[in-house]
Amino acid sequence: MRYIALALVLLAVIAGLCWWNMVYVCGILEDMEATALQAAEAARREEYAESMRLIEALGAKWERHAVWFCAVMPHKSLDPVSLGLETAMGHAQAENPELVSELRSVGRCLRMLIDTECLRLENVL
Amino acid sequence: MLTGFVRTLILYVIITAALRFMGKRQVGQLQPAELVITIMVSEVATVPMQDFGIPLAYGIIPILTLLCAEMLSSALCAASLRARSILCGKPDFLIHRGEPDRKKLASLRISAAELAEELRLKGVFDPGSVSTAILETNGQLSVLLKPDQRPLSYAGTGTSAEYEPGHYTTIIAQGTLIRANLRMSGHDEAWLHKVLSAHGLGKPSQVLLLTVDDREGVVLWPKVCRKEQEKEEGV
Repeated sequence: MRYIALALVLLAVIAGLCWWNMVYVCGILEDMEATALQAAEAARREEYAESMRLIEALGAKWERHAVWFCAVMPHKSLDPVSLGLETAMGHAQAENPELVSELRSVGRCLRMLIDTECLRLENVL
Repeated sequence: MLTGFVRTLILYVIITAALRFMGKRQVGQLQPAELVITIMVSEVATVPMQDFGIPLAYGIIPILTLLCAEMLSSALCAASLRARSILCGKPDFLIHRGEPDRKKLASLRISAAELAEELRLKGVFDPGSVSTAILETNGQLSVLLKPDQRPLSYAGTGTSAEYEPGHYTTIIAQGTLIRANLRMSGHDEAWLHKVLSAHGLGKPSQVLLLTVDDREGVVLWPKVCRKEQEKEEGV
């Protein structure tokens, strides 16, 4: 009975850690997605200074959590976001109208990361 | 990661069920759950090992989950006969009182030739000499010969055997003194020093192997054979 309880406790601990990780990572990614969409909206209104400020905040947040993200998500799914942020920064500095579509693309990549990380039936199957 | 945890559990249950349905012969020497663990852990471990773009957690979490699942299934098997019969199956009598169980052989898809082969691997070349043959849950065949075919033992002749030492304890192995075994054998370091001195040695590190039995019989192999030592010294 002792080992049954121990195995169940360990399974519960692992599940709990995975659940906590999911909530933590998805929270950060959703926040970043909202910021990216705000930046896209600002760029659409040609408020490039505001958009650049939001992109810098996004980049700083991404860097801050880079190690954790690399530890829990495949690297190839993180690359599009990194490249997208770099490209968006370039567009913002040049006040290029393509900034809007680039930021929306970054938002979609972040949404895909969230969808992959969440516990959903389609992911399990 | 939570998705990986859920997928690992689902795959574990499916593969265990599949191996149970495949039958005992495919299992070989392992219980079904043990074979599942062996296969899955090695497969899972290679994924992050070979692809550096995949986080280590993608290997570690499934492996830990598999180990906990295996601990749970083995604990259930130990605690409950019903759980054991579900997870591991039950032993099957292939030969009972000298007669083969034809229905059982057919249901297990074991031919007479395969049964004869398994008996030969157990050292039994005459199937008629077998009283009982049991196919265990790990796929191994246990064989009991008919009384007149069994090797003669002291019990069979009605005599009693002189007691022989049965328990051998390793005190020193590869020059390392195993203190726990020394205590378990009921001796101390003073006794050890006396034994080493009697063999012309000073310390445990000079000993390859030292064992003692429950009749105080000592076997000591020094690291350097005396003959080799004398040869080197030119004696």
